Parts: sequence; structure tokens; C-alpha cells
Amino acid sequence: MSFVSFKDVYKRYQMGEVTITASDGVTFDIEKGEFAVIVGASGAGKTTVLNMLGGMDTCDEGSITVDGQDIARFNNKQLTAYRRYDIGFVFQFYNLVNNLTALENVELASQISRDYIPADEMLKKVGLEERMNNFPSQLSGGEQQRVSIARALAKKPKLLLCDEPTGALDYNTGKNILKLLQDTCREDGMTVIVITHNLAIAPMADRVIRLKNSRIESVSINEKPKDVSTIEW
Amino acid sequence: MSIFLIVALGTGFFAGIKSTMPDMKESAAEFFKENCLMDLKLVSNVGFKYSDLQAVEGLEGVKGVSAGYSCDVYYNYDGQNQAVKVMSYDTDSDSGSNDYLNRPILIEGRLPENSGECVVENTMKTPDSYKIGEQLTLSSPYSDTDISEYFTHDTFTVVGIVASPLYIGYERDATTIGSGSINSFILIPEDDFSMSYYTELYVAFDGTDELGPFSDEYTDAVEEKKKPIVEAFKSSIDERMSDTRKDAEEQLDSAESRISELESILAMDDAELARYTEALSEETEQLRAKLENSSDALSAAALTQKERKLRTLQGLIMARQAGDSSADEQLAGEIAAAKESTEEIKAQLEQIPETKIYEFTRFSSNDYASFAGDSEKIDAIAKVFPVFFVFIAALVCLTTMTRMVDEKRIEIGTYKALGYSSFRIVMKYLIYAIVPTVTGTLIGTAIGFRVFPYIIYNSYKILYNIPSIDTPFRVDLAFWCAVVALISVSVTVIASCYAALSARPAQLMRPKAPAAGKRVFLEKITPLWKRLGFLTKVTLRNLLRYKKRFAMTLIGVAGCTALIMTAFGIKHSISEIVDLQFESILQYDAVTVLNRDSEDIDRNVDPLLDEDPDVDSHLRISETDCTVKANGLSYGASLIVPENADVIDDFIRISDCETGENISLGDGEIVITEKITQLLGVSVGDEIELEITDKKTVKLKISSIAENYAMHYIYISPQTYEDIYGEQAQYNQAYIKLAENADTTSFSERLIAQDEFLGIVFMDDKAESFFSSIDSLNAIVWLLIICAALLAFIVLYDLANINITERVREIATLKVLGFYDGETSAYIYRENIYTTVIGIILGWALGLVLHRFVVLTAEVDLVMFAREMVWYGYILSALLTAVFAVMVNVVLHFKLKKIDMVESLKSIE
Repeated sequence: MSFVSFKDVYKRYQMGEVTITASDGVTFDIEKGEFAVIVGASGAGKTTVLNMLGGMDTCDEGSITVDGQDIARFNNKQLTAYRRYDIGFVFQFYNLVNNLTALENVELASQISRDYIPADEMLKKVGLEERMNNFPSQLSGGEQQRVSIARALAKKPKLLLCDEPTGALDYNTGKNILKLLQDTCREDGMTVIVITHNLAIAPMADRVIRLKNSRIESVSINEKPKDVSTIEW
Repeated sequence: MSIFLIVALGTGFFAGIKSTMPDMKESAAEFFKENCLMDLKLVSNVGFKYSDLQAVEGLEGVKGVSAGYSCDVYYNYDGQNQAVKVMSYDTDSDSGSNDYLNRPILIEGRLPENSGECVVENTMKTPDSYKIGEQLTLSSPYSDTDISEYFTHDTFTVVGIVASPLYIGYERDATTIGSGSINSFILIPEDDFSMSYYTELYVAFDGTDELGPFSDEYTDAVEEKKKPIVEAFKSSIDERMSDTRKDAEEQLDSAESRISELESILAMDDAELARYTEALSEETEQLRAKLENSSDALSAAALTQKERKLRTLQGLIMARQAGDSSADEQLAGEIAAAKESTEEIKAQLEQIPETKIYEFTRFSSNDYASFAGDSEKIDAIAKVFPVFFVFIAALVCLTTMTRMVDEKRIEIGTYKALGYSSFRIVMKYLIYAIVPTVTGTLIGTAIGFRVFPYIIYNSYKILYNIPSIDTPFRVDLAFWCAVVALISVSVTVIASCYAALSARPAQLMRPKAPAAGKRVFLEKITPLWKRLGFLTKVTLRNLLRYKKRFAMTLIGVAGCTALIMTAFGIKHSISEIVDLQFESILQYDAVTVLNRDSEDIDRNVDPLLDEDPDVDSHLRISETDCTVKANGLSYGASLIVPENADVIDDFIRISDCETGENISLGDGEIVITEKITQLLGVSVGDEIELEITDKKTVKLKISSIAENYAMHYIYISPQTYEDIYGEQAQYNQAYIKLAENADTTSFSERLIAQDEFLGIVFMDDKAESFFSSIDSLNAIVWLLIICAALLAFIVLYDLANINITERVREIATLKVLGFYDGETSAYIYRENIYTTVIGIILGWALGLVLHRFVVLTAEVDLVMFAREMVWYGYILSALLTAVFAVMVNVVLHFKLKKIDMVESLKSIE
């Protein structure tokens, strides 16, 4: 069985009298250690997939399996535990706690994990050795996103979920971040799922899942993913 | 919404408390006016007649007069004689007449109409057996008089239950019968009194109804108007009395001349007698002849007298000639009888005492005065707390408005960009703030005006039986509340808009940069900082990041704690003095008033008390009212001279107010109690001037200051007294320590029955009545606690709410990171808990100040409250504040739970 597997997942929202189907029988698999990209225009149902995969929302029908557990059947508490131990989340807007230094932001995550990578080590790894004691407001966007990634990885998650990680960054910084993510995947065997509207990123992924109108348009596997530095957009 | 709530709370509290005093006073005034309470009661030691009433009736300034009978008798209830005051009720009373004073208020049944009917009063001291339709049998308190000397009946049927405006409180008049105090009064028809003279004259003045019955103007007016009335009353009685005296004196004169005449006759021998008879018969003849020509009454009377005398003489002569001595004996007997009657007349003359008039105004009743005092006490509290609430309300408005303006930055920017003037923009927000302010004031005051006086008054209702309170909406007060609220809200709005408006539109259109993280000063103390847990560090930093909000929450919490602490503190301070004064300072159990008019009083008292089995020990003292002056101020006090200064310690603990050491009352020592020295601003070594009526004014040097909580006293030894005034002190009271298991009722009856004692007061009763007035403070304590709770809720909730809204993103992120609900709440709570703890500690400090201030303001001149804060004040205030904080946190927990994690994915504005 695949590491991550969506099977006939439906999610509907009631908006007044209209029912909006945000996920219409979504089915896909992602293998362990893969670098997967879920792409789609805005409104294609990316966020819904992300929410369900990230344990922030539940589905109405179908099953979502992560590492053998069907999280679609989880209750709130189990979902929180799932988020806590299994998922590392990287936000588009980094979502660092303004009042904590880079180091402390990472510690915030490691505080609650059973097994974690020490915060300073983790920051060293993302190349922020020098900026450890700076507050978010003193860091650039790219640096903040690195802290965010460090925070996600410090928990030793099973899955790294990235929501438009480059969305708020300029071209070069974005590329650096993607490089970091790709390296994490390649070197540490981390399963990384990046959700983006940017199709250009697709060639660097092992697996590309395309969403359109709440359905899966296609799933393709790159036998030879490109290195980030060779991609341009 | 929070503006509305806090404004409503602040103004409601202020308006309510503030209006309590006028409400109470006005209700009382209305009650007095409606029932035509007298302004002046005159009593004379010789009673008075209808003519004396007429002398007063027509005088200027007199609106109405009514005369009445009253006497104190026994009513046997439950095997005990209860002292009842029986007063007359004029069954012909016309409710339209100004002369119908002190109208009884019918509570049940009807007023007496026929002879043999009575109404009883409804107060708490009345025995339960009083029921309509029951018979009441009265008996005379004195063994040598019969009840029929007072009334035409001795049994009365209860036909109604009434209250009287004369007695608004617990206290009834003192009496010389029974245990020294009246239990209740009853009213019977005037015609059922068989006394020959009126005992009480009630007078109502013109124009006093319009003055507040507790005001200085009223007192002055009564003082001024009563003079000619008392004068007229006294001279009318005096005249009548002097007539009586003259009559008696004339009678005495004639009787005496007759005696001397008879005596001279008796002393004559026969020859003299014959000569004298002859002379007399000649005189008689002459007189008779003269009368035949002209008749005048005087001569006729003289003639009859002379003829009678002649007959006696002739009889005597004849009897003596016959050798019969019976005529002599008869004459001697006549002399003796005449002498007896002169003695009688003499005794009567002596018994006609000098007329004394006793004046009683409304203020002569302690209850009347204390009613005013109680309402003023509340007013003192009203001075402090509302200021506090207004301050907090302003702070809450400030945070709320600042938050609102922050949220509407872009809107404000857009307006500015569109070319609206700053003024127009400010107006928009002003209106937004003014609407809840005005409605808040209206609703707050409307509720406050009704609720607060009502609750406070109800607690006083235990003490006073003024039927109901009017709680009008006081427009002027509400108006000023609104003005103050509007000003403070407007100022805060303008202040918070000012920062935003001074920025350029472009700047405003961009979202405000989130407050940058900062290191807090604590981090500089590395060793300490390192020891702190991660979450503690985060909390500390968060707290210090939003300094304004932190300060505001602190003030709210501290205010809440301080209010609760003050509430408990006041209650303790006041109730504590009962213990201190009656348990620890006044060691004696009772004080009895000695009858100085009784013969050999100085010799009789000690043996009498020594013999009584209920008395453990006793000490005669002299207590004199005096005036103490210093620094241009003067206060009344009591000068206490114990008969034996060495044993005073057994009865009153006189100890130094600072060191607590016992002060021995040595010769030459002047010991004065603490409060009066504070009032006068004097200390040990200073000189005070002591003024006693009919005695020379002396200057004394204070040698020590004694601890004392109620009333003012000066203690000196008998020797000191003698040295000062050159005479011995007159011992007019005796302190008594009762034996164990003493029966106070029988003891007091036994004591009062003796001529030497006029009355007795038990300290337990005194302490109890003191206590009951303190019980009424409970309502105020509860009010304060409830207001403090509301305050805590509004402030904590408002600020915590703002805190959460501003940090939704952070909280959602925490949730995404996998924080459990409890952990997320705890992350926020920690801040609240830290704030609460710090707030409580600050509140304690604030509470101490506030408590002291209130105690000093509320303290009346005669009393000194305990100023220390009680230990449970700290604990309860902290506990209650914590409870309120926890309740707010519980509400917040659900709010936090509802925060959607999706918020974390949203872009920043």
C-alpha cells in the first residue's frame, strides 16, 4: 500500500442552499520518500486536499490513509495527535510567532514532540546558524520560511506539507527554498508534498498531481526529476 | 457592546449609590410630613392643663399643637412584667386638621373608636402575643398606686396594629419602671385616661416641612422657633402654679391666725376672759349697728366671725362657771386640728415644685439622628468607589476604541484618500462611541437609581420602620453622569483616532506591521532566564509585548481585588470595634445610673451591690459630660473619675494606643482617648482646655493617650479631680461585673426597684444593638463584591477577547502545529494567570489604600474604626478574583476552540 493514499474522497460544503463539492472523488497515491507536487489553479480544490491531508479537516466520503492509518476516521483528538507527531507544516506566510526568536519558534514545535531534532541543530541545517537569536521581524522572507521549514522538520514528521512555500517570496529566494525542500527529500528520505498553483515547479517533483474543478485531472510520475537550479519560471 | 456595559456599570453604580442618601432622606421626610411628625415635644414636671395648650396654640410659627397623656405601666407577658408606654389617641381626630400630629400608621385592623379599645405597635420588640381581638391587661408598676389612677379600664381590646412616626427605630423611651426601658407602646382613647392633667404637648411648626428634616437649616429653624413657645408654655404653667401657691399660702395665713387666736383664748384666766368677752361683744354691737346703715360684705364677714368667736367665748365662760373642763378640751382639740391642717397645707406648698420644662426635638431620639448618620455613611462610600469605576470605564473605552481604530485603519485611510476631513472621520467614530455611552448611561442610571437605594435601604429596614422608599429617577444626576461618561469616552476616542489620523493615507492603507518581537529586561538576567521554562519565557515576553493591554488588565484585576478587599475590610473594621470596645476594653457587664437625689446615696450603694448575689464586683464612678478644646476645635467627651483608681483596670482596660501597655491612673495623670486627640490634633504633652457646665474651665496637659473605639473619654483619678476642682467628684454611676450565671432580668428588676438606682444598661444589649447596625453593612459588602465581579468580567473578557482576535493567526498556527485544545488555551491562559496573579498583588496594595481611605471617610466623629486590614480580606479578595478570572477563562476556552485552523492559511489582511 502506498504511504499516502486518497481513495474516492468527497468533501462538500453547504453554502446557504447551494452545496459546493470541493473534492469530487479525489483519488491518488504518494509513495514514501517521494517529492510530490499538487498543482491546480485557485479554486481547483488544492486547499481542501491540503486541509484533509494536514488533519485540519475531515472528508465526507472516502478514505485517506497515511502510513497505514485511515485519518478520515479520526476524531478531533486523534487528528491533533496526527498533526502533532506525523505532519510538518510549512505555510505560505511562514506563520512564525512574532514574539519568539528563530530558535524559540523551532523550540515551540519541539516542545510538543516525543522525538525531535534539537532546534539549534535544525537551524544550522537550514543555514540560519547566525540568525538563531533574531526575531522574525529581523529576518527576510526567505529566512523566515527557512525557520518555518526548520520548525516543521524539528518534529521529525512522517510527512512535510508545504502550502505555496514560495508564494510570498521572490524568484531566487523561492528557488532556494525549493532547493532546501528537495534536498530534505533526497538526503533525509522525507516525504514532501508541495501544494502550489505554479506549474513550473512540476518538473522537479517525483510525482505531479494535477487538480481541476475539484477532481484529479492527472497524476504523472517524473522518472527523472530535474534539479531546482535548472528550472526557470 | 463592552463600552455600553462598562458605561452602564460605572454610571449605574455611581448614580445608585449617590442617590441612596437623598432617597432615604426624602422618603423619611415624606413619611414624617405625611404623618405630621411633631417638631417639638414639651413635657413639664407638673403636667399641664388645657389653658397651657391654649397659651401656645395661637403663637406665631405654630402650625399645630396637640396635647396627650402618656404613662408607663406594666403589661404581664409570659410571666414577666413588660414595660409598656400607654399613649392617648384622640378618637375625634380629624385628618384635615393641623393639630392632628404624630399620626399612627395603620398596618392592620382599625384605630380605636370606643372606650376600652387599643392599638398596638408592630415592631420587633413587641411580644408575639399581640393579636387583633386579644385582651390586654395592664397593671400599675407601683405597689402603692392602683391602675385606676391612670385609666378608666385596666383591660383593653386590641383592634389594630400601627406604626408611629415618633419611633422610627429600635429605641423606645427610657423609663423609671421595670428594667429601665420601654418595650413597646400602645394607643388608647384619650377619654380612657383618668389622669387630671396632660403629660405631653406636641408642637408642629410652620414652614419646617419644606426643610430637609435632617438638615442644619431644619435644626436651626426649630431651635429658633421653639424659644417663644417654650417661654409661653412655661409662663402659662408658672402662672397657674403661682395661683395655686398663693391660694395655699392664704389658707395657711388664716389658719395660722386662727390658731394663735384660739391659743390666746385658752391661755386666759376667767377675769381676763370676761373682760375680753365684754370688749368683743361691744365691738360686735358696734359693727352690727354700723351694718344696719350701710351693708358691705367685708364687715358682714367680720361680724359673722366675731359672733362665732363670741359664742365660743360665752360657751367657754359658761362651761368654766359650771366647772366643766370639756369646753377647754374641745378648744384644745380644735387647735390641734387647725395645726394639723396647717401642716398639711405647708406640706402641699412644699410639694409644689418649681416648674421645669423638658424640651425634646426630633433629634432627641437617637434613632432619628442615626438614620441621618447611616444615610450619610453610604454617601461617604459613594465618594470613593464611583471615581474608581469611571477610571476603569475610561480605560476600557480606550482599549476598545484603539482596537476598533486599528481594525479600521484601511477604512480610515480610504476616507482620507477620498478627501474626508479628519474632523468628519473622528465624528464618525465619536458617534459610534457616543451611542452606546448614552444608552449605557440611561440604562445604567435607570437601573442604578432603582436597585441600589432599594437594596441598601432594605438592609436598613431591619433597623428602621419607615415603610417604603421612593426611588425617583434623578434627572440632574443622570445628566451629570452622562456628561462625565461622554467626556471620558470622547477623549479616549479622539486620543485613539489621533495616532491613526496623523498618518498619511497611503501608510494607513497598508496593514499595520505586527508588533515586533522584543527581548524583555528579564532576559538580561541570563541565569534567571535560563532557568525559566520555555512556555514561561514565551508568556513573559507576550505579556510585555502588549504593554498597554497588560497594564489595563492589571488595573482591572487589581481594581477587582481591591474592591473586594475593601468590602470585606470595611465590614471587618466596623464589626471589629464591637469586639474591641465591648470585649477587650470595656470589661464591665453593666452600668447602673445612681439616683443622686436619694439620701445617703454615697453610703448606700456599695452595701446594696455587695449584698446582691448577682454582682461579682462593682465600682462607683463619676461620669460628666464635658467639652474638650484645643487648636480652636472643640468636641464633646465624658470625664470619668473612678472612685478607686487602682481597680479601674478590672472594669476598663486603659492601655496606651501605641504600645498597648497598661496605663495606671496615677494622681495628676490626664488620660484621654485616641480618636479625640486625632480630631483635635493633639498628642501627649499638649494642653487641652476642659469645659464643664457650672464648673470653671481648666487647662490640662495630656499625659497619655488610651486605646478606645467608641465615644471619647478622659480618665482621671479622684485625687486629680479634687486637685483640679477643689471638691470631691459626685459618683453618679456604677460599673458592675456580674457573677457567673447571673439572671440579668431579675437583677435589673431588683435594682430598679430600689430608690438608689435609676436605671441599668447591660453591655451585651449595647453591643448587640451595635451589631445589628453592622449587619446592615452586609448588603453593601455584597453590592461591592457583585460590582467588582462585573468589573472583573467586563475588563478581563474584553481584553482577553481583543487579545484573541489579534492573535487568531498565531493561535490557529499553534493548532496546526498540533497543540491540543487544552494546550492552546493554556498558552493563552498563562498570560491571563500571570496577569491575574500580579493584578491580585497590586490589588492588595491598592485595596489597603482604598480601605484606609473609606474607613477614614466613613468614620463618624464618635467612633474610631479598626484600621488594619483583616487577614481574610487578602485571602477572600484573591480567591474571588481568581474565581472570576477562571470563569472568564472558561468562556475563553470555548472561544479558542472555535478558532478555525484555516485562519492560519489566510494571507495577512
